Amino acid sequence: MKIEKINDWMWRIPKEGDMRVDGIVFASERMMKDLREDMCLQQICNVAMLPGILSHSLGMPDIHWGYGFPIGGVAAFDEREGVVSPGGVGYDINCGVRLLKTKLTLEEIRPRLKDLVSTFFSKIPTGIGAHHPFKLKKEDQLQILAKGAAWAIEKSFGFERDLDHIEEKGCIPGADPHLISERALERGRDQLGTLGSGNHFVELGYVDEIYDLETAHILGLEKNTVTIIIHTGSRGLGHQTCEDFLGHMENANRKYKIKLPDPQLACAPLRSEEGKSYLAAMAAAANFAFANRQMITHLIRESLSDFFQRSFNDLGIEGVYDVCHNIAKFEEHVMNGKNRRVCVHRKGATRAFGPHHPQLPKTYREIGQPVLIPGDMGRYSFVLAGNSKAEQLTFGSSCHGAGRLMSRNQAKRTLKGRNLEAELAHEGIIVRATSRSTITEEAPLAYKDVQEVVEVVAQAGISRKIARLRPLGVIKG
Amino acid sequence: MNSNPKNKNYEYFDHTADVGLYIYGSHFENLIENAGKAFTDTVSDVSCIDPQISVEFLLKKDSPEKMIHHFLNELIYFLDTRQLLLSHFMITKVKEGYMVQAKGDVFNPLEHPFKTAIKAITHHQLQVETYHSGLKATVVFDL
Repeated sequence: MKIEKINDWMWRIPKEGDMRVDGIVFASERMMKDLREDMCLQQICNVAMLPGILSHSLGMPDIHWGYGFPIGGVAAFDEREGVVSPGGVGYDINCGVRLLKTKLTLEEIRPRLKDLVSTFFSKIPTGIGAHHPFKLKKEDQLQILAKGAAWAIEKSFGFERDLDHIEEKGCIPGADPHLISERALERGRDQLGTLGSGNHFVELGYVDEIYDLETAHILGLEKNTVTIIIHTGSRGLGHQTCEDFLGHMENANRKYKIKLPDPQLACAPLRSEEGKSYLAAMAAAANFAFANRQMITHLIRESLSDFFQRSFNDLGIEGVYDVCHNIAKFEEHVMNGKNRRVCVHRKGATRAFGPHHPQLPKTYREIGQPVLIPGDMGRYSFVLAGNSKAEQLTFGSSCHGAGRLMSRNQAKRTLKGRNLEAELAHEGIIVRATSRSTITEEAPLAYKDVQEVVEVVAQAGISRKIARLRPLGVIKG
Repeated sequence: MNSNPKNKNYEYFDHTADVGLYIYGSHFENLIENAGKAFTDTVSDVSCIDPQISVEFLLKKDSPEKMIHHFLNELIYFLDTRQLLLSHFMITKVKEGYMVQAKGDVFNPLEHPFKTAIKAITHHQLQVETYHSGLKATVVFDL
């Protein structure tokens, strides 16, 4: 495979064979050395072979190998000639991140950190069998799938203003709840308002560094103020929906005679019934994830309010933004000077619209969309803002996180005999998890350094650094 | 029972983000049984489970890969909807495919360790092949 350097932060894989477009990877020189050995570059080439793909098959700097599409992959398709692929979204539809700000300071919570993390751990459902106190009826489920986060607000799990600071206002249009299978509904029935496990988490942290004072001020982020990151998705409902549609897509491939370099790229034309059905079901599952993060937000508000004996308003617990990491949706993008409606797939990638984009809430029109980049539980996370250059280069997309460096088994072998919880506590970070294995498997050393990932998108100009957050307490499943 | 020189029912192989397994069996029914144990051992610990609750389902006749995929998806379903950890399996060949009778117990954090949840059974590298005098399946779980 030929790889050409465009500049210090962008690399081209020229099209060859069945590729319809070039691949473009955002990476540093050092990252590229490792990536050349990784199958993810071949996956970028495979995605470039799909019908109707536009411009380039893209890889963000946190790219790594996935099922079909790489994780950290972005691809946009023509609405008439293009396809939609569940593999370009992932099993965890609308896995994403929400960032909350507060008026609490590091000094206020440090002396009570251990108790606060224990409170979160007892209130936020994690692991097998844990569920939210609110009991869902079937009609509730269908409403959630149609309305997303707005359903939770209607039930008093939040405020109307929360919706302004969620991608798509917490509801992807065009959802059809009736396309969600009975099995998916059953799997999701007790899981609304739960965190899950694996790499999902709630992280209590603080603003440790500010790079752009004016933008940080608009976002409400001040140095040493406390923040909370929620990372979770559509739970069993979304996973089952993906599985259901993978089966339909296999049939669609045969029906529409779509030649695939990898069966895991199973897809259907966007114009087809199968394609439209997947997007409508995916939207419904995505709405479940938005509602899920809203429910967890409310649990956090209640926990903090009870713990500090102060009101939500007094504590100032508000959403900064909520982003999807795994999604496919129709968006308008300018191509060759003209507005064009395309279907953008982001799998382990974040939307990053620049200033003045009409999709942004009024409060953020001047600064661009917040882009939330969680790191591992030992180091830092970042708040970025989207740039218009992203709209030119990456269909308005940026990276999503650190990406794993080593397998779970490798992490366990490397950390054998070490007490990671104690080591992190020594550094001032309290971790509580339902599974001890998870702590080891999710150890900081198992992940790439997110700072390196963020540096690439910043230098490439597709996002700009606003603030760095440091962890204080982490809840995992 | 297993059928490989390593004398194992299953073993893990390295995978960056998720979990890869090689599962062994002397014949197809035994392969399914060991796949079930591998699944439950990945989530918890088969040896800690008291098999009090029974469930039954049919694996419709299909390719060995599709049947093993379907079987493992059923275990995810029982885990998500009833918090059932299934540890004992009896697989019987029938006209329509294979009838699975499985026994296990509801997850109890005081009795059963929790290692990880499994989101999905991927189709990645999914394969059932002959191996020495038996069968070997390759499966990757999405965690």
